[in-house]
Amino acid sequence: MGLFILQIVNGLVIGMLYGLAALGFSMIFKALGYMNFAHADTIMIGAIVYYLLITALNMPFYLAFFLALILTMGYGVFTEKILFVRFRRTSPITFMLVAMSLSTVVKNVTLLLFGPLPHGLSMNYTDAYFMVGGMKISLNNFVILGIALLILLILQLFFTKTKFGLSIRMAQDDPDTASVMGVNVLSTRAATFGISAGLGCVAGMLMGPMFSISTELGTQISLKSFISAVIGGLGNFVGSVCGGLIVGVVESLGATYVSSGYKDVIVYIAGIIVLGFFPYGIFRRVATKH
Amino acid sequence: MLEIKNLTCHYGVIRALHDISMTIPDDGIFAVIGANGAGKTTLINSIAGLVTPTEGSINFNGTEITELHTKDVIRNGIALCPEGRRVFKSISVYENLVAGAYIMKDKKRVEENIEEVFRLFPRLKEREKQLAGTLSGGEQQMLAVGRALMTDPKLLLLDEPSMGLAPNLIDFVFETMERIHKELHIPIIVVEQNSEMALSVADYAYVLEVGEMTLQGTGQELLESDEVKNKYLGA
Repeated sequence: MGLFILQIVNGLVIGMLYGLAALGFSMIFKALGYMNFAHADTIMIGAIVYYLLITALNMPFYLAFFLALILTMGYGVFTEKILFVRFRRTSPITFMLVAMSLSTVVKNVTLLLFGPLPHGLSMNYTDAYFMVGGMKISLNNFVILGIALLILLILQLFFTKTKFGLSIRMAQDDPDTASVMGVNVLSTRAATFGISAGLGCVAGMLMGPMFSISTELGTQISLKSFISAVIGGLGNFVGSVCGGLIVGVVESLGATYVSSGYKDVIVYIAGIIVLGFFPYGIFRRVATKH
Repeated sequence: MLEIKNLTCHYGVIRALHDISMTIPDDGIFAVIGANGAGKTTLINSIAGLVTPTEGSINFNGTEITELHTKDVIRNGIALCPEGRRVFKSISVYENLVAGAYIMKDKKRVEENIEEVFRLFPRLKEREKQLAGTLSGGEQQMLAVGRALMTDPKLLLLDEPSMGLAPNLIDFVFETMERIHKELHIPIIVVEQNSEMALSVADYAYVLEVGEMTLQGTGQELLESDEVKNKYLGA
């Protein structure tokens, strides 16, 4: 029983982070109708910048957290402003190729700068733990969950309570009509890329220390978060986070009770089965054009 | 008063409108009828600033709006309810109305206008928290009209409001139009394929045929004209 609860907690924590990254995917998909495969880079960039700020500049982790977040969001806006905005009227395939090419360039440049060796980052926000059924459950898990939930709350308030948040949602829903109503669609697009990058960055910063920080980090996480977004229904924000939680828990339980070697196999097969029954994701509420 | 003078529009080399002139006073319902591709939507869109005319001018209450971008046209008091309703499906009914008032700075005025829209359409009030995509076609049309009214317009443009609606709802749409005109004292230009309905509510109407204005007159005159009967009323 203790092991089961421990694994559920682990699954929820990692799933929450998949969910954050998935939200980034979903947001761009909703706004553009395109898959942004360069989203994976923001996870890696977030983690690496965070690592460098802490180890090379000896920054306290909260300062590094905010600085890395701002830098990565800036990177997201930058990619939109100089690159993606030029491809806003192309076919989804072209956009996908542009995003993948950018991703490859960024990953290889980072590889040259950062080196191929994975780095560990010990990240214990707290040493406290409590016991459940003979298993030690670290409070660290709940700190991470808390940070993720806080970020979701801030995002929720931003989207529902501010005028700029509303304008982003208008433009995501129907850019032409939003523009007719006076929304500057180019700035909401840039903001969407910024927020999406920010979500990737947070996922990377919180997850980096759990794995190891290398240029491959983005690829590992982004595939799972991609499947989370698809399971939740692309473009559905609540669904993306729930999809992440499902993937996290399935992965965690699968690794414990079936075999850790097969955990990816289990996750992806489960994903395919879910999509067989719910081709538009589990959490589809409104018929959309996609 | 809206004054359109010698308006000509092109899409690339294709001429969509040719030498259209019309004067819309501050009171009344004005219908533009015609077959598919006659240029009705182009006319509405050029008034709303979505299409830039190649020649001619559009003047609204003394302001030249020919070259203005849509959001500036809205600021000048013209509201557009676009073809196909185009409500924001994934946001709530209430937020759709707030969205309609995006250019308005006065929050109190926005609240008052929302109350006014809810008074006109109590059905929307019942569904204010629902996502607009879950509304029926008729309710979405109410929402689209309500959203257009959010900016305190002095002229309302309706593009094919009856499109895709069940026959009993079509009656409702035209009744609503008359109510808006009577209660809010806003002149309305409506573009319709449902010629009979449009002519029966219109004070004055125009017939477009392949981009040219071929006929005009009061709604009643056109309803009785043989040409209109043969071509558009299917009699």
